Amino acid sequence: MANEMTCKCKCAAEERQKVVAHLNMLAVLPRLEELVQYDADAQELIKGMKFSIRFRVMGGPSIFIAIGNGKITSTTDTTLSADTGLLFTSYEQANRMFAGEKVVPIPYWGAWRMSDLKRFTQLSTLLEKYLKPSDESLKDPGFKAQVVKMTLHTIAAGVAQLAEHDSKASHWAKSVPEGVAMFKVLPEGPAACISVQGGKFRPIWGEVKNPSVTTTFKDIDTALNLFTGKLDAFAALGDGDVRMSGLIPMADHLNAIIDRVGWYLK
Amino acid sequence: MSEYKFNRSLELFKEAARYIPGAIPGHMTPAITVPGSFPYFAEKAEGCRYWDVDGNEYIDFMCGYGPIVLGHRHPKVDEAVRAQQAKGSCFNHPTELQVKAAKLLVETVKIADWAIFAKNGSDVTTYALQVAREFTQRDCVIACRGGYHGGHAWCTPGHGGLTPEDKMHIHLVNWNDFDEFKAAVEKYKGQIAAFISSPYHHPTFSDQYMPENDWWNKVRKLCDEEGILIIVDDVRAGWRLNIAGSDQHFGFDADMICFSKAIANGYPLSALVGVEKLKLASTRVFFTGSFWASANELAACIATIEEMKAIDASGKMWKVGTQFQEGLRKLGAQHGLKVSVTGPAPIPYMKFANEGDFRRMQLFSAEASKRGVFLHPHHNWFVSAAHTEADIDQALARCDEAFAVVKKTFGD
Repeated sequence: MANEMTCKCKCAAEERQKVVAHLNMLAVLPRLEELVQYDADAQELIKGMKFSIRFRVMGGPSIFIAIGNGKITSTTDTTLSADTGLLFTSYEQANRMFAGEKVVPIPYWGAWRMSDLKRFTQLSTLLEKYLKPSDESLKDPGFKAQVVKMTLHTIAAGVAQLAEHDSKASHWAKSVPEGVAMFKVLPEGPAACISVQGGKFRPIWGEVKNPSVTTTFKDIDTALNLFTGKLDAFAALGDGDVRMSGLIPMADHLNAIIDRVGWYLK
Repeated sequence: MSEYKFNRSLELFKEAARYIPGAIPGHMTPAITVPGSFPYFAEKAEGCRYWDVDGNEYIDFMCGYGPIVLGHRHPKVDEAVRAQQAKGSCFNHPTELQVKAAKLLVETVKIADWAIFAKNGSDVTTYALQVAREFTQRDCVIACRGGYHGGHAWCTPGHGGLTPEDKMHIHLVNWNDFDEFKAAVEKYKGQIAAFISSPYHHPTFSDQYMPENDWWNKVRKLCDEEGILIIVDDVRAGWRLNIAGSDQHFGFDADMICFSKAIANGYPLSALVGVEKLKLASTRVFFTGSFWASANELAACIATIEEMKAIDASGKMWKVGTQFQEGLRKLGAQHGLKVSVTGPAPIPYMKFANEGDFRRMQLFSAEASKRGVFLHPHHNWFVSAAHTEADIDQALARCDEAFAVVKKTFGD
């Protein structure tokens, strides 16, 4: 029995590393795209920069990030060739790097371009400001709105990762009815959707016409408090700060997965 | 009539949110109605009507989500409770009422050779599974997808606080799909203790489905061949279809039946009844609760059963329920709207047939609520023996206005 329990705990720890790595690479890192659209320091950092990098975890996810023309784009397309390719030998190694620890991944392609890599690291630090904002920084309404947008996008992308890689969430995912669930902050956004078709979960940025279920948040503060676990969702629904209409079971099951995204990214 | 406002409900809700997680936890949460268009807190009730804290009056088609079978504050039931209350309710021992109530259940429910009491539906559905496992010395249980058997870990539709092991012995099949049922029996041959199911399928966010293609007879025959017990979860439908048990309404005999809700006309009580061969096994399963022998509810149970028999409560509910179902179909057609009215007449439900997302239904029920007719948008409804033909006529007249709003908003 003791061995069985040890094995179970070990499996859970391994799964956690795997899920967090998928979240870091495919839900968090792509938020660099939105960071440079808004943040002046980030724009300054990538000014004149033309650089592409691929992060890959051995036996796991891979992401291609391109910086050029003052923009950042990311894709999971594995056919694109990057200036530099960095390989993590394990999920844990990747997560340690994303947590800010000194980790040296293996350059499996291209050359180390120290200046570009340094700037990339600085971008990651800036990104953290938005995804783990301080109370002081949230006093700026523009910054707060951007935080909500990037968090909403992280959640939408994160749900897709959990539905595939987290054993609890993938079990719950089977209960999610097919359709498109839209989440929108009133009055003018941001908005993001999660599409569920054929067992596949996919994030969509912005609004769609005729979603299966719509969840609206009264304002930026309501959305932020809900995303950061400071607001009781059921109470918010009752007093009208959050409203749901349409196929409620879809939002209900998705909310369980969304909560789990938050738990992983704490 | 002027549309209702819910200011006091909202005020109280905000206060509740300070002290109670979710403000109104569980199935009464406004989150699954249409928040802002429904009352949140009740004030008083009588017969088939109730009043919310804003003083709005409703014709009640949820009946406390089922328990109110004879009508709110039924004089005979309440008098029985008052008489017992004068003597006390919670003692160191059960009272004679427990014996009387058990005897009455055995005399009333066709398959019952014994009865045991608890407080909630979940208490007895979980106990029934344990009794089945004890009797058969098997672990597995078959249940239907979308079926509801309470809030315990093995059956909750929620996700929080569970481990994968909680449901590992529960195998799900689709209602009415005998081939799938047979395949599950084959796959877990010799391991299945019981099949637990409501007598007909009444999931939320869905039409209701009657047994088809000789479902119950085929299930009964296969279960007999394989030594599997049939547990009917009659918590929601019990007493309304047939006071002898809903299995009798559908022409088969269960091995155990779980009752709650309507069993004591709103007083908190549940019961498990079973066939003789399971009686000893049931004694080997530990089963208790501080309030399970409380006398007030047993007094209510006895009075409820006696009154239901005296007035043919089930017959009355079939009559007014049929009137309501036919009226809704007629109104839907008159407005050029496609309605789907399903379920047995005492437990009706309506949704719009041309939508999967319930937006028309959410609008319809919100408009009905604002006009004093309480119809849940996503959960089956209930009528009681206190509903009269005139109440149904009045409800339909208000539904007519709600249909008009749906027509104006959606067109079809």
